[in-house]
Amino acid sequence: MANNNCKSQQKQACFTQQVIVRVLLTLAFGLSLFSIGVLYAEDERSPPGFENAQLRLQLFPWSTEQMAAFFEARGFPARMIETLSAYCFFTASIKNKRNDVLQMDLARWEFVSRKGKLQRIPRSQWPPLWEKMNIPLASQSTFRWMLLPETLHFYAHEKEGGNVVLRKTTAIFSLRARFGLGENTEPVIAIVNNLQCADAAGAIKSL
Amino acid sequence: MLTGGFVWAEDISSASAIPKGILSITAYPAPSLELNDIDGNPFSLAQKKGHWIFVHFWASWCGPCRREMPAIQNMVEKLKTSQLVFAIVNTAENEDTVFTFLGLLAPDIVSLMDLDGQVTEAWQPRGLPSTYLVDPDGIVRYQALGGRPWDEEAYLRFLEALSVQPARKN
Repeated sequence: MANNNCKSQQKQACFTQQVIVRVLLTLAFGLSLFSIGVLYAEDERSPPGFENAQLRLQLFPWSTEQMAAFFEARGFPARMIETLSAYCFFTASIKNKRNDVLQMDLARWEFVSRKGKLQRIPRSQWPPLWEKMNIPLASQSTFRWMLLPETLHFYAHEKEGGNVVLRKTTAIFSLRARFGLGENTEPVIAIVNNLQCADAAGAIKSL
Repeated sequence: MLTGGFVWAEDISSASAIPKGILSITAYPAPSLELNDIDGNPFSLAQKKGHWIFVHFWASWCGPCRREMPAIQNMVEKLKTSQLVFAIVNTAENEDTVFTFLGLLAPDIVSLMDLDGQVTEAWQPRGLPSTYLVDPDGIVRYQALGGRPWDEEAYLRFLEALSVQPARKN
């Protein structure tokens, strides 16, 4: 609606008005989004991760508040955010440092605590749930694009990222991720220890 | 057919090498792309046949998209006299979000609006941002990996050379 008004008025003046308000909102929201990074920078810790000559894998945990703030800003329905708050989110950032293809398959990622294997929520589990909850297609689409694909071939030096979702737990756990290099070749195994859901760790400050 | 293929390969290699991060892929027909832009003007990929088309998918929440968009605006400006057609598609966001984002980062870009995200789904990009280069026959020929510095000389030269290439016959 605001944009339609802009079209009929002087576009530049209208734009300036809107931008002033929205810059403030964007800054406030941006601060919340990047708070994880800021926190890690403040105490000079690295995010949990693994790096060798072949790949770099980093995992950034999201607190429930950060997740809710991000999705609210994207216009997700409250019922969708409430559902998502029962889960543990990590943004995974992966860089293939090799000169050839690195094969990622989330089915070959194991999250394990002392009590056993943790359940990762695969991409296929969400659409039926969203359908049942009558979630708008735009929100479904955005959520889907934010997930790490179930499988992806990383080209030489390619870097990609996306969210990995687990059932929420207070346990400390490890990730053992196997990346394929093709037939008859040993996989690259990345191990990340001492992982915790952000809320469980208490390491992420409230917004 | 063979001659056409040879001419194509020769022209591209002599005019400009394929820049970093651009993949020549196994060709396939471009999925449908019919959307309105943010000002309500309709766009149809099918009606742009005869031109190379730069198809780009983005969203404001995606960090690499944010970094890449100013380069895209510079590229569009520098190639405005070329025959390349630009289809820059926002994925599943509303007009206010797109208006604000582009106002801050790339005010000259007029984005197409995939309001429910279904056109993007049909294209099945590897992730966002994602860019495809579609030939004059509507065949997808190249894909870019992630965000690219489109306004750098190597990319501009490549796109400019591409824009005057006829469709391949194989």
